[in-house]
Amino acid sequence: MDIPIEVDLLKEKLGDKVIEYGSIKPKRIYVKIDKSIVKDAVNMLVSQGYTHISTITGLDTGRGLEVLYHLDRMGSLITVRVDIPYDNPKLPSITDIIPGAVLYEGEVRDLFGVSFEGNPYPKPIVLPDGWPEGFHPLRKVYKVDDVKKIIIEHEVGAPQIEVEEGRGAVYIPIGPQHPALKEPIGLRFVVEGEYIVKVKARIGYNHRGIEKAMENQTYIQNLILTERICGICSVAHTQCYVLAVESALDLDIPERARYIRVVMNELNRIHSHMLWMGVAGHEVGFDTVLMYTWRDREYVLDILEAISGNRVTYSINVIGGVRRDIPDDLKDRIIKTMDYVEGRAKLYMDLLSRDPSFTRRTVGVGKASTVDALTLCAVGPTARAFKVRKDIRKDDPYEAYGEIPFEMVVVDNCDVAGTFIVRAKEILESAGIVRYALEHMPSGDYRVKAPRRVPQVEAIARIEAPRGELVHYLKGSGGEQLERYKVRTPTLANIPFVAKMLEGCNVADIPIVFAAIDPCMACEDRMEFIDESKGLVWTWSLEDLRAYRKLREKGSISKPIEYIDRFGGGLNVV
Amino acid sequence: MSFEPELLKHAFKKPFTLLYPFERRETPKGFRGRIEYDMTRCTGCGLCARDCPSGAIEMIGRGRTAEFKVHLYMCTFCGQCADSCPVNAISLTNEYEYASTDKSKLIFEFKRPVEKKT
Repeated sequence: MDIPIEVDLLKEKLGDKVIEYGSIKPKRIYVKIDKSIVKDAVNMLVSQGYTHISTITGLDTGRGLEVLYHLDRMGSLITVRVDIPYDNPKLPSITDIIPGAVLYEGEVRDLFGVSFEGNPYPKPIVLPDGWPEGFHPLRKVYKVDDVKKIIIEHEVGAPQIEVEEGRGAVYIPIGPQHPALKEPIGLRFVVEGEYIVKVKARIGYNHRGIEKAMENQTYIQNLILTERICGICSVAHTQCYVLAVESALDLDIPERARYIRVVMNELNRIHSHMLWMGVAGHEVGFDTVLMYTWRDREYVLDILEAISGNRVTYSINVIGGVRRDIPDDLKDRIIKTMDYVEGRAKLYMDLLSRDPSFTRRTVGVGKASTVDALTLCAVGPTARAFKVRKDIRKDDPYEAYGEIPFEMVVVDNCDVAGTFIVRAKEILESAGIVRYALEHMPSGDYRVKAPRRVPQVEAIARIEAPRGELVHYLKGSGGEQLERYKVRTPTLANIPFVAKMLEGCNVADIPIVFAAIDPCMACEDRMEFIDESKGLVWTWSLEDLRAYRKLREKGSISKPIEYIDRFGGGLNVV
Repeated sequence: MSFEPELLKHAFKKPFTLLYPFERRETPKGFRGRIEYDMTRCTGCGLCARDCPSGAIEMIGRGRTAEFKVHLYMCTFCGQCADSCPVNAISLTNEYEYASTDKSKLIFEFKRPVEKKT
């Protein structure tokens, strides 16, 4: 296997501290280093172009802990491995080199107890508040029952959002809960007047412990479980899972299965982007868009149902291929639907780019620079709207994507309107991919038999989910159950960046800017405001926020407190 | 402004949604509904119960005399049992209406057919 020159350079410069390096698969390189040179090594790799951090994985090997930094450059992934002992699990934070690593470090700290010195988030990120010190659920000494016991015994509640000292500034924590994504999000805003000064993310409100659960199930059961990580990108998660397992098994799947998977992935992307368009329309108060796009989305869901037998969870990907074939009589129907979808996507793009009620809420809103998107490691359509050329389908092709011609949609709008254009154009590209894949689908088998046991190897799979780069990490145990599984969803990667986008925005623009990353919305159903100068705390629903925005646009009120005086909206603590 | 022709078009159309429960959608071929055992084929290997991700299939007894209890309220309708079955004894029906306030109504039992003596 070819080792890139950067790794040899690393060895040359850092000498004995680089313990070993090698490559198991193409585009997957690992470097094992001593913990004293983590920062030097990451610094060197970043200067060589490995600026994007895909995720940080924690491992409990039984002899100690291991931290894996997955750094990416144009599709090739370097895994920097660091061993740390149980009794002194300390590492320097790399957030000053790669700011986008902040949440990944927090996740490993919470779940494995590795303290990253210098990480700006000292509080728990994934775990709830009130969680006992020193209990790190993903360490192997703790079984699932122990975690359940802790939750009952310690009355662990939902994470609390703390208030910082400040003068006259308003803090707005946005309280989150959403069933569709593994990482529901809490965002705390520091606001001066109407403008957002600073945003801090707090996730973990609905952490379901899927990674721990997967360690106790068979590979087949896990396949069904991964599908339920997210309801909207359910193909994406199983796709990534089967890629990881097949890569660990060194299993080649039939050509036809690879094309069927591409069709499913792209249909999934189309309906996900249509759903997003509706949500975006809803967030700017343009519900007609919601009605139309969601109606058109039903046609896509109908063909997905006809292929797989269900509207939402398709259960189509299995280890070794796909479960069902796409029969020839369905092909015409799919192609017809694609024609319809293309027409509609063009129509929406045309209508909405001219419609003042949409453009005035999106153009120039949520501005950030390309450099921010790169350093904060944004992924997917969000990054591509900010002129970042990053698409796993092109950079690190999986399944049949390497053989299918399509364009990577990149625009340089650098605002919320850009994310709309990227998604609308991607619907067109996806429809083209579906059509090409159906026309060029090879004949033959669509499934091979896969063993039930996976050897003791590691595999990292990456795909382009509708929301961006999705990373799954697998470590097999040699048996029917896996040793460790790690999922990094695209929304987690985009949170540091959306925080940046929100800075300088209006309070009224929070819903649409936050929706721009397609975070599986509903997270914003409850907001809490604190006005320290008056000692008031109140809670507003999204309806209150909308009403407030409307009144403010009319000019009848100018401050949140006036809204409360007139309508008494949600004032609960004085 | 630009939405007006679109809106006019829809003013004369019937609603896109179905008037459930008066109108029912036809399920497509291959719909993944409740599972059904063909007990004459079943060999009692137990793969269905072992692979079920939610533990909805309860196997009573072993081998050729085994019987099954399907706890439908736990079922995720993934179809893995039908996929795992080596003798194709499990099929997926197109029944999907199972809302109930009584859990016991959602337990389906599949017993061995009584063998006729000739």
